[in-house]
Amino acid sequence: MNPTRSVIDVSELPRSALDHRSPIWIGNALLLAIETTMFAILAASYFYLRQNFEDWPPPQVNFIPPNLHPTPDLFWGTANLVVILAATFFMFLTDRAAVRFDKSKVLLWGSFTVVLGILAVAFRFREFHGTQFRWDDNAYASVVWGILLMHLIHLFVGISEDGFMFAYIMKYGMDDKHARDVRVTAVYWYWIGGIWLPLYAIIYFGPYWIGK
Amino acid sequence: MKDAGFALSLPLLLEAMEMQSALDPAGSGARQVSSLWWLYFWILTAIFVAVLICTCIAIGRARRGPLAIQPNEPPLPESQPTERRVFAVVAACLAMTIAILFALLALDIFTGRSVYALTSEPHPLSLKVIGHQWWWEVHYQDADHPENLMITANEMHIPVGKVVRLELVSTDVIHSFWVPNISGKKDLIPGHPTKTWIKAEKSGTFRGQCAEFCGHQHAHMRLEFVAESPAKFGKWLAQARQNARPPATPSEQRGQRVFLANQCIMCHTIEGTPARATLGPDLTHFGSRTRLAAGSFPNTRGYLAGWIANPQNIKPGVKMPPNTLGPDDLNALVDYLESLK
Amino acid sequence: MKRGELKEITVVPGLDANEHRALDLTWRRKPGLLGWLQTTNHKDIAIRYIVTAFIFFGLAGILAILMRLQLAFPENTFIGPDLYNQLFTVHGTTMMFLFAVPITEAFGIYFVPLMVGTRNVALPRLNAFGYYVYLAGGILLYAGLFLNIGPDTGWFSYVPLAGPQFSPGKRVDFWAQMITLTEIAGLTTAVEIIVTVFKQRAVGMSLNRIPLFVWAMVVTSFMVIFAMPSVMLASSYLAMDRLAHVNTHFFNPGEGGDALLYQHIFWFFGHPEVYIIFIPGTGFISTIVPTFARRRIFGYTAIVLALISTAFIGFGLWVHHMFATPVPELGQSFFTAASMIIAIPAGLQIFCWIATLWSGKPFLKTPLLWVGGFLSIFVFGGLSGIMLASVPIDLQVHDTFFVVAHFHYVLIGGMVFPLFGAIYYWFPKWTGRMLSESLGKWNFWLFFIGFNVTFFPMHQLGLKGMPRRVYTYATETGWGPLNLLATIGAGIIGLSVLIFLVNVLWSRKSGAMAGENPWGAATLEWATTSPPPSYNFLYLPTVRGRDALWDQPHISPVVAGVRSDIRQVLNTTMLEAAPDHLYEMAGDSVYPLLLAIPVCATVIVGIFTPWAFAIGAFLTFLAFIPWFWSGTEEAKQHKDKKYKRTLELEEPAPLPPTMEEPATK
Repeated sequence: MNPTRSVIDVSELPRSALDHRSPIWIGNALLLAIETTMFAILAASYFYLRQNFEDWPPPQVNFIPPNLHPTPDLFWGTANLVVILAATFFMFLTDRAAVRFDKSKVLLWGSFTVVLGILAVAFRFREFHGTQFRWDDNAYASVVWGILLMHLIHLFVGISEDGFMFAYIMKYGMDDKHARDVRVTAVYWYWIGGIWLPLYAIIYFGPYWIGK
Repeated sequence: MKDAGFALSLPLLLEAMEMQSALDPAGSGARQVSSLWWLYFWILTAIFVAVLICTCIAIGRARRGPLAIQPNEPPLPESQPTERRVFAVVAACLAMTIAILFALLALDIFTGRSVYALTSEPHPLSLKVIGHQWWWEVHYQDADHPENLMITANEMHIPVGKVVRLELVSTDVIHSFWVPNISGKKDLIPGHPTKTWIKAEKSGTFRGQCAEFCGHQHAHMRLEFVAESPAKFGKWLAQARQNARPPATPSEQRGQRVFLANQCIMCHTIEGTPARATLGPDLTHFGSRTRLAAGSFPNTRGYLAGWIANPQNIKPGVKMPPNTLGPDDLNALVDYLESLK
Repeated sequence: MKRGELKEITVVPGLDANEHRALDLTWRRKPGLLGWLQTTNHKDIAIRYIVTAFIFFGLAGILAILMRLQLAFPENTFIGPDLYNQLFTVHGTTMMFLFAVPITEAFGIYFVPLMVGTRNVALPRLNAFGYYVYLAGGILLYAGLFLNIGPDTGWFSYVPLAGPQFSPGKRVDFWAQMITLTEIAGLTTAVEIIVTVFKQRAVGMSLNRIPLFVWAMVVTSFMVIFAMPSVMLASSYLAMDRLAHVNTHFFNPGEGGDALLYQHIFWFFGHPEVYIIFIPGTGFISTIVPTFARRRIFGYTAIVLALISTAFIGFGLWVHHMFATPVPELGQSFFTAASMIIAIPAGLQIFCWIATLWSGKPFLKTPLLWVGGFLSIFVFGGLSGIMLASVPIDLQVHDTFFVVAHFHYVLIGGMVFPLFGAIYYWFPKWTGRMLSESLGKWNFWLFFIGFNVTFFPMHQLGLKGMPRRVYTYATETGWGPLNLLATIGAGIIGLSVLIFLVNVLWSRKSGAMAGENPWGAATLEWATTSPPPSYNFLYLPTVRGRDALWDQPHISPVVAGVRSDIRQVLNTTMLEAAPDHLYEMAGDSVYPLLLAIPVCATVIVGIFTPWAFAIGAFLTFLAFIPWFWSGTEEAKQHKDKKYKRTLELEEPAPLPPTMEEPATK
């Protein structure tokens, strides 16, 4: 006698998704869109401020003898680019291990990323030094330091996320949630490495392209 | 209350003659903008009235009263002929919107070109206008005799019918030069010198005012703007290039001594005296100006004495400090300044 | 992969009541203050946002009335320049950053999950975090004002006036850091709304069936994501330029910095901001119009496309705020054309709404009155906007009262009128009671008349040469009578808002009972009780058409098999909204608050010393640990056989009246 009701039974559906079907993945992608916009405007500021200078970078006259074309130190910049890309590559291996729920590989490759990430932070301070300016010397120095600093913050966040996750996985093992978190953090690392390519090019080659 | 009534009939009010009005043009830029504005006004008013009528009909025929509510009333079934008819009307409205917008755009570009045409005409007179917090400094340059520079403040004379180029510079914050009856505005931006070209077509005295918020006394950063016949202008300029008139009466002489012995001399210039500082307005022909403190007050003895004694009282925040002068000194100083015609 | 199957099941008596109990225990907030601080329920957070934003609206309104009193007479000395400059700065800043954007986003937080048929927003902890940060930003701004050190350089804070040289002290820093805080909140909200709509729509709600309000919120959120970073960067540059020991030179012309760079970055945000405020307004209108016209919206697809194109074009207009600066002539023509073209999608939507009303069988209730107010006032403001798009005209009226009139017509017409309509429309859903219709009519007519009396004369004042942001004016300008008229109008608006407050307070307790769906509306939020239970829907609904409740709701299947003992929701695919996977949401937690405290403290103490950023970053780092150091309830239950939910020991919420008690006790 009881009425019937038509239902869609979803109880058999998977309990999680490890890829772009996961809400966290999309949330992360949107946060990266926000940060990309930030960097785009920083880069735009770099080119806009160029118009106010005769030479780019402006001569560093606090040095004796003055440096008339104080380009940023290409060696440390390039070295750090390699380190950042290597860290990103190990995060790629970590990502692949996470799909297979391979705890030991996740921890192995992941620790490479963390170590290289810390190295990148150390190199970043050499990069600041290599600009040959302090941030408050002129507008050129302000914007270059700004780009380097913003990216440094992302390096910090990326390393911390990795550190927390790997410690948790080491203690409690891999579950769906943490496999997904590793994958989402991997996307973050791809972005950290990927966004640095154009920014590196702007900071280190900008002075040669648009210098005079 | 007259204005209040007129508020409902915009066009009527604008017929009154104004010293600081965009729609009472006395310059070539303002004239062209004002005719463009009126054209836009009538077209857009027609559109607004049409939309308003449609809205009123669409909503006005709605059912009212508590009895009209039938929350569970099913939505109207869709009827294809009605939808097609509505579609046709909406599409037609949209097409009309696009057509009108393009017409307006064309009108805009046409007027814009013709306003800009002034820039390529020869300009016999070139002035430099410097914005300060909160007053205007105007330089009359002489291309042939650079040493013949005349500096004045908060007033500007130009000859009718001649194109005048203005170089606009700011040394502190952003200001905007605007004399509504003559032409549109142009910003004065530190680090970005700008230029604008104006041409007066009618003589008269108008008022300009800073149009970009520039701090405390943005409201009191005004300018007397006089457009006059070239002959009168020439006479004015020749007179303005003279040094200040020497003090004639004993009181004026005492006033000059007060001026030179007190802090006045730290900021102001009076040509022909040792006062050569440029922080404040040039006072060489101060007595000939009609207004005081960047157009804030009439240049009368009362206001002037009050102003000198404590400028903060009547224009709070102004950079001029108060002066502690005895009444006789103050009186003499006012005599002297008023004599600088 | 196995997608959900369609089945017929037999309804067992009492099943609904048991399901209700289980869901309520899972989703409701814990009792007491701690529960209140921990809640991540979208309705709780949204109501907080709405109440807070409305308080800021009231405060900014009071500031506006004070300004109008000062301007009522020429040479008035009621308020001096120092206070006046603070008043208009805080008024504009509040209305833009603390009222208009947060309150529309709050409506999104409340209604998007309900309209798409899910239990909570995606990323609920981020949502809770956002509110605390927003609140801190608002308090910061008003703390400055009440200490008489409020920012005084305008809501746009142009450099160099706002730079270290011309605005010493900390006034402008309050403004800059308030921007940073509120924009963090705005961005988190935008992210949540997009994710919720992308992943948690009811089965069957494919892209072409998403309610128009939800579309509007998605488009707005995308605009937020690309616009707000810009103003955050502008305010950060400014704060760094000003902060002792940092002293960067982004805007310092003496060291190669540029005052115009600030304007570009600011308006790259500032113009889209107008559409960020206006598009949710169109969402309100598109929701109210079909309900009261008693017909489906005319031109659904056209309206969606109009919203999307508005968002794109909205990013190409910013220079029209800078026509008086040295911008190349060719560039100006481009921005003029873009500024006119954006009128096309706006016009299209207006035609669709009027067409819907015209071809429907409307009934007139208060929400529809506000729609009428919107149509007339917004269209008027849009048309004066076309004048402003023209460079020559703009150069005359830019930065005058004409512009003040224009943007109040656009923003109050385009956002506040729809907002009031939306409040009258949705109040029954929030509280279960209707707002009084007669007070509503007084509210509307006084607001409509007061608005026009206040702002219409300002067009004329602007043309007569009255610049913006002046604290006084000379008698001989003849601006006195029109200003007095505007002041009277402001008083009428104030009266109207008071009537509204009375209406809300009275109706909350004593209004007529609403029932589930008092207006016979079509969207899913009306398919649950008023106010909705903590879990929103007893069974997650499915959708068979654009107008869910008009398209035969009784035979639409519901979703079964989503666990009710943990916070599980159904995720669906992005385009067609087919069942995809089950997902456990984060529960209530105090972590958002614990994270918000160091973040806000960093930004606020950063006004005084750069060390705040080093120490604050470390504290923020600590506060982040628990966000990562946690597993899901499901995993915990899996591991721990003895695991028992503590909440089961408490009293369940009373049954909604529509549900029966179980037949067998």
